[in-house]
Amino acid sequence: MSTHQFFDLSSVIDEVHGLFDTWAEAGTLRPALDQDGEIVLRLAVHEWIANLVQHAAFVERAPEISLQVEVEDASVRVVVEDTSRGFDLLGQLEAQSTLLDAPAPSERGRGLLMLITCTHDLDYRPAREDRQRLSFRLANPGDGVFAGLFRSADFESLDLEPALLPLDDLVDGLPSDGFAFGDGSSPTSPSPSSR
Amino acid sequence: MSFTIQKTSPSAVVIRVGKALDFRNAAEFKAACQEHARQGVRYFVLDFSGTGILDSTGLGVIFSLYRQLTPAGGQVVFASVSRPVQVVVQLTRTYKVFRQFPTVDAAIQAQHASQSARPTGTA
Repeated sequence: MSTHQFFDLSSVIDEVHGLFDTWAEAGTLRPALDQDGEIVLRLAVHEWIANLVQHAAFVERAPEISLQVEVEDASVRVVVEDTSRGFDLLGQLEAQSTLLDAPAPSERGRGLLMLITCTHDLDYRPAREDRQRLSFRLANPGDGVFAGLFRSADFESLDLEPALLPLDDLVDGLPSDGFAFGDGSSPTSPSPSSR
Repeated sequence: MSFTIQKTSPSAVVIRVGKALDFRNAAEFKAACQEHARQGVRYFVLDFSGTGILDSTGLGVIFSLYRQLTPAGGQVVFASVSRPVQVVVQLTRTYKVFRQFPTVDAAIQAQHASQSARPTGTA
């Protein structure tokens, strides 16, 4: 288990990516995650911290974000704690799901959906010392794990030749039986937030 | 801002996305693209050769650009796609709408070929 703390909201994203760069070079997350798994974990943490930077209210306490990462056999366990007031995660997720069905959906608002669809056992709740605590596990991703983030109708508007699709080696590296999260059709329900 | 834009013809631009396209620069990226679209650009080549971060907001902006351009016959294509971007494109299945080329030159040549094939061709 390694724990890292960040205090400056203007630089936390760059600092976190610097940390992931170090882990990638050192192979810290192997063999639990392969290269694609490392990329998705980095993206999941990025999306959550981006959410904190943009939307969280750090009022009573100075901003502080801690990131804990524990490498397990075939997944990585992540805990992110922060000193914000917290927010209504379930409400935000519902709003984002509604957004995707809009005739002209906004380019924003998919971050939490992306996070919840690529993780296992996601939980968000108040923690010690008036902190908020997000925890989840992440394993190597399955094909199309984020496919629901953009409208399928838009995908049907182009019929690309197979030769122009992404590299075959990426597809070959993914498990054929998909990515198991929850019941396979809906994300794990997070715990109620502090509000 | 980490991206740079080079106009290669009256109807085409190459955007070198740079290190990141995410919530921090997505609005600026969108405004720059829309300005070029307003000027008549219909073919956007996004060069992802040095891109380590493409988050949901960044991809959302690209998708919005695609939705804006498609009715007018425009295209958004990807070139020199880095592994982190390739993973995002694969997992979101947006490769179904964003054609990919191994290099920027190949993407530009594809536009030229497309124009040559059309008697009154624009991008």
